[in-house]
Amino acid sequence: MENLENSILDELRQQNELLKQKLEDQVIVSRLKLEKVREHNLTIILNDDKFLFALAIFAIIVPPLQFYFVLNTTIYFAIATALFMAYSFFRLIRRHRLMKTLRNMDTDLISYVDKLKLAMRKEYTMRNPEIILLTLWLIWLGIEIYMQTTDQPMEYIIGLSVGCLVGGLIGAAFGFSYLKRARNRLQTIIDQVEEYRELVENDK
Amino acid sequence: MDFDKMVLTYKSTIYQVCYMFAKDNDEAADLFQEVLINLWQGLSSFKGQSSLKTWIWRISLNTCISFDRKKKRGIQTQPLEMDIDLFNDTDAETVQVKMLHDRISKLGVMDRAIVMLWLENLSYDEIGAIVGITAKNVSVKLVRIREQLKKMSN
Repeated sequence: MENLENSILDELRQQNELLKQKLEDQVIVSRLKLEKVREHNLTIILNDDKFLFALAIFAIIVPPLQFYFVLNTTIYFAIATALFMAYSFFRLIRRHRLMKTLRNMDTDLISYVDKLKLAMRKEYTMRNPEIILLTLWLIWLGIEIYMQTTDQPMEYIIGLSVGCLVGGLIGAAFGFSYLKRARNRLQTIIDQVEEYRELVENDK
Repeated sequence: MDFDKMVLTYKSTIYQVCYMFAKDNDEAADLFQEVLINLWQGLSSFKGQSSLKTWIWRISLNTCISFDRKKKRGIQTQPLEMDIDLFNDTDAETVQVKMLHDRISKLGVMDRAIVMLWLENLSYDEIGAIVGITAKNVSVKLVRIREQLKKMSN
């Protein structure tokens, strides 16, 4: 039995040596390509925050103005949209910074997954109020559109409502399925870390 | 510290980790790029408390464990074209390497990390420092991983 186990490990070692040999023999990535892509990407990353801030300012100002002046919604709705956008971007920038800190953290795997778990838990706690806010905003948007279309034929109103509803439901289904998969993936990693934590606890 | 020099010195190690966590060549390239970005961002905060090799292993493993290919980063970076394709090459050596990949990728992420570090001949203390467990627990885990690999072979 022991021989079989060792033969598996020996085989793995041999295969790993082959891998190392192959990596030694091959370029993997040339210095030229590395320099070119690094320069380009680092410029993007360094301006990452500036880009997000610019996008936030645009989103807080332009859509509310468009709602008010082009779609003739009420001023209250335009203000609510601006506040909603500001809140969404505040959350986005915070999440972005947190992930940036996490990604280059010099810590062992278990502590890293712990920090990731904490960050994700916080994220999920904040998600429910966000969904409620988004739903309220969408209902309000529906009312605003309805108020603009009272002189339109009933078929037009029904068509518009059904279109918005179906579009919204499909979008929400995609969004939730993505979130569920991401959550399951993280949960698998967390469960695997728990096994290791038990070992650490037993050792104390 | 010269970043390019560091990357070129450790590119095999970085690629090895990315390869073991990837499903295809594109994903390996994405992971490689993501690790490089994280190494660059973390370089200024690297205090030298651990060795450079340990730090590179840590960042590479942490990145590969939490990488979400669909999500990636918010702002699109230029893709890094790799000069290697261990997923589609068909020579005898690559077939062996793929067998190694298949076996290791069936393990859980933490076990995968331990076995990779062990294959690199790192000491149990070094493995423990990267994973976050004691050297004694590294040996316990390695015995269990060996059993898992045996079951896979059966």
